[in-house]
Amino acid sequence: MDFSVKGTILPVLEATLQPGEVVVSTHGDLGWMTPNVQLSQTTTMGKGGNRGLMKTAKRVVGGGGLFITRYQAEGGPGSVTFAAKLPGNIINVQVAPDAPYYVHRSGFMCGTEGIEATVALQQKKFTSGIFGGMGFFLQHLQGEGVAWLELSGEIFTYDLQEGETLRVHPGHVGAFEGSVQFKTGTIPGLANKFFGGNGFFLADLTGPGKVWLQSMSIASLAAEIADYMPQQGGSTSSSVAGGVLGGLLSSK
Amino acid sequence: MSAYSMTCLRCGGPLSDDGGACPVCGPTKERSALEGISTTRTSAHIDSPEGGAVLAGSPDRLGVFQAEGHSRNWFARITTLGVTALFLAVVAILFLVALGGIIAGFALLGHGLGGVVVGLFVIGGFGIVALLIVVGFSLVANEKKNSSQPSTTKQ
Repeated sequence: MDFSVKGTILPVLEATLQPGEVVVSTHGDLGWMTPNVQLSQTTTMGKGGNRGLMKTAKRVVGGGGLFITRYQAEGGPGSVTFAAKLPGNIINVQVAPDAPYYVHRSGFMCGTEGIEATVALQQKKFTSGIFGGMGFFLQHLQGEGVAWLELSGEIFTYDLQEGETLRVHPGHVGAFEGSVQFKTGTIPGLANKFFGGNGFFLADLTGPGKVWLQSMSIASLAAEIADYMPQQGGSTSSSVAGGVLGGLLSSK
Repeated sequence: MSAYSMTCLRCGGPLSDDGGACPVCGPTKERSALEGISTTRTSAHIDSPEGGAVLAGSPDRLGVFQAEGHSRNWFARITTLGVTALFLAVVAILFLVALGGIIAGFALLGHGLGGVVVGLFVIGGFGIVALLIVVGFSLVANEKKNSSQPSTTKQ
């Protein structure tokens, strides 16, 4: 089984499968595939093929969906290509029983059969879950195999030493090793909270372990383009035209 | 595709390009590669077990994977059948509403209340027939193995 990332801004991941080989994916990233790739749905994940209602429920809560799609090559070599949903990068991590990973909620793209995606609470405080900017949950990747992750924008990695902490805006946390401690803290100072424009919370990532940060926060992107989205009783083009017209009038 | 390593937080030197470790301070821990797996930043090669799949099995007629040596995955099967039934019900209702609108309009314009009653009988009949056709086609389609194979276009 061979994987290869292709493309630049909106990359794809091409998986070349030998007969019988399997790739699993938790949500709809499929781009295209050869006809001899057989699709099937399962609720089992991981090497032992164990299933259980709690495991399935945890995966659903974590953003992984109720069913897992298996892509299996039948009768000859086959190819499946997964496409990124946002401009960004696709990276791989080797998941092992003693080396789990945490990924943002929609970060797990696909992986080998031994990977198990469940949920992890990213913060214990209820309020920071609401206002933290990343929601309550992270995907927890366990088991054994290679997992491919989809991160937005450019990727920046740090290998944190033991006790070394990096304070990150929650939307920019892409993935981190299981050995890294994740804690949500607040931005110090009332003025900074209310007038800084950076929200109330920061994620404290403490080593040892590697962290992958993404330059594009999906929440920030949505906020930036929200002004240009069609409004009730209007359209995008009219909003843009209105904005330009308004700009011209106000400049005179 | 781009990925960048930043400046080391301890010594201020540049981090290595292959994943964020500092050449001076060293990696935080030794990361042993899994057996039979070799990866780079943009590619990976994985040696699969004999037969290809870790978990042997095959999909059933509903498209639900059935692992060998494991009990049937009834949860997945029942969920699939439930969603299929819901889909068929929605299709049937939409069909009935559309047909009902047309016949009721025709009956009220030309034939009065008696026409409406006759129209309702016709709607019911068409609805049942349509539902049976849809269910029948679904069952026939499920009988065919490898239903994920795309149809070929004749030249």
